[in-house]
Amino acid sequence: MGAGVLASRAAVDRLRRGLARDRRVIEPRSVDGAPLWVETAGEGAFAWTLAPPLVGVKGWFFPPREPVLAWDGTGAVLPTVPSPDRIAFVGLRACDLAAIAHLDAHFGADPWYRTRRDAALLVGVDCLQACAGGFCIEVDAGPFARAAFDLNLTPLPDGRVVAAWGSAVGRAALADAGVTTKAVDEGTTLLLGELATTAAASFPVRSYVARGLARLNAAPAGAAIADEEWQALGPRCLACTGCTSLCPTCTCFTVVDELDGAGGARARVWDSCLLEGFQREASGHHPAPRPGDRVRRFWYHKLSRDFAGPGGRLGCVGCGRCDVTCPGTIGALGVLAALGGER
Amino acid sequence: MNNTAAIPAAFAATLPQRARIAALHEEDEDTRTFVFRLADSAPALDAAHPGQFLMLSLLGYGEAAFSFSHLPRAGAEPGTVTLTVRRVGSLTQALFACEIGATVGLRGPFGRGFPPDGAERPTVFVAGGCGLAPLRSAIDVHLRERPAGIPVAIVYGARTPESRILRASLAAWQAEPDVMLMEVIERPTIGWSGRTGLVTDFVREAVRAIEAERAAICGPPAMLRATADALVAAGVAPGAIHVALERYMKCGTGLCGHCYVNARYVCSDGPVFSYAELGTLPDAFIGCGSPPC
Repeated sequence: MGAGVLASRAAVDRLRRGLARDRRVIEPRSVDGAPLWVETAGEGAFAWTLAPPLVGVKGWFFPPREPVLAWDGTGAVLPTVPSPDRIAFVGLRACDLAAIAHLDAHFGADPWYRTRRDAALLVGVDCLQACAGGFCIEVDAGPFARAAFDLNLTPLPDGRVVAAWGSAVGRAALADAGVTTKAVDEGTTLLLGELATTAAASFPVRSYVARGLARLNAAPAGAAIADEEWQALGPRCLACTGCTSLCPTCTCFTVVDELDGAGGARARVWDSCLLEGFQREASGHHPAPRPGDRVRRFWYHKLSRDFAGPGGRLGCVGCGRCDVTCPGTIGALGVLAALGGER
Repeated sequence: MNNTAAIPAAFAATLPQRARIAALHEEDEDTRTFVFRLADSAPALDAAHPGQFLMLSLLGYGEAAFSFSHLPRAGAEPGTVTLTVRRVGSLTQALFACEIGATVGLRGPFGRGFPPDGAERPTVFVAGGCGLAPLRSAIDVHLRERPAGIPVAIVYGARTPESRILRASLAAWQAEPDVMLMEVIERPTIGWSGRTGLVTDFVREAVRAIEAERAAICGPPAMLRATADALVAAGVAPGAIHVALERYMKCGTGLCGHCYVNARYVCSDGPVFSYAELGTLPDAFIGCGSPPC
């Protein structure tokens, strides 16, 4: 870990082009008005103020469909080994970096995840103000990056940029691109503190978040929230799986065998704990038979300290994507508002 | 043989191990014991503990989790895997269509089985239906390791006399010294003169007869908590009651998310939990039918 000051935002453009020499560079861009992760080769202006894309980068490391083995008509069975391109994500926000730290801890040494993850270099960009619907600050995931980055950039109002490196690969990327840094002096440190204070002050006051989290985490588990409250929320879940697909920390998958002539493939496919059949057993036994049971289980997984990951952070990183997509208005803020007594 | 020489070791290690069906035994019309012979040596499977499980793979049908019903440490031949399987889903349907010599894949062992210590303490085993399968190896290992004279009680509940499985084991246990076998039939048919009812009706008698200090339970979800409560009422400490939970699983290694109960994974933290632990996991018995939960 270390940090230095880049003289101007043009140095970041040099870094981006430098990364593009031996990596695919993926950055947020506005496409027809919607922020998306786009391959840019480091060309063009970096979108410093673009809102975070609704679809995050989870699928690069944990694809919606990941073949794990294949067989042919001879009976030979071989594991499917991915060969991902070297990539660099430039412009990851603190919430998504915290989410990647969660994925790293969850998947551990899993060879499919590890192979894809090891091929990626992560460059974060701190948020100087709250995004619409984001509440990272309530769950200690942002708005300034905490975890997982190789490099993290904080743009200063005077045009300079503070670059922090979290890995040797990140430090080397600066040097390889010919980007020089100056030491972070006392004035710059003070300025970073002011920016953090201003960013924190830009979040709307949502006192129900702390109240909801406190109720959900009251000991013993589940004691503070009556079953009826969850069952009241249950019918609002349409089991559309929008939240679990967009959630940057959702990792559940099923495994399917796909036949192809005499051979076939076995693949991991994204699954959702909100689907009725997720835990139903062949015997008919169902450990979460009612929609409210499944909604409760999902939100405990996201918001309970029992599931805290690296740095003691919750499974929810406060990105707010679930609130954007949920047709039943029971994304994270919707649920916390209900639990926190604000309807 | 699969040519895995060029495959990175971390990936090769994830492949199911090839095995063939070496023997079949019909337990009842929907339950069958399969003995698989592994193509290559598999020290980890040979060393599996009672209560652990593996993932059985049938290409085209996927994988499912099964507990061992016999183990080398209980006297089974090394290099073999024994599973007692009930036909309830698509994979087991396909498995029942396989004949001797057919190839399957096996991955494991996984999970935490029954605690390996405690052979010196009087123990009651309570099984319901095909829940006897995972307990069989636990009972056999316990009988091998217990000091002479330490009593054992086995309470086995089955729906009908005809649906009792692993009858050779039942007969062998019956013949062991200091073993009290209590077979309980829920729906007796003509000719049955033994105990009738539910296993919970006989737990107290079993505990008292051997002054049981510990217990192991495996069976259908509706039976588990009722049995554990009956054991506690009869004086067995919750921390000494070991319950084998069952959950749908897709990976066996704590990744797929299907089997979590509160913040624990049945596949890697279990499948065997003490009843004291389950007391901290309120989701463990949701959907288990009776008693009300």
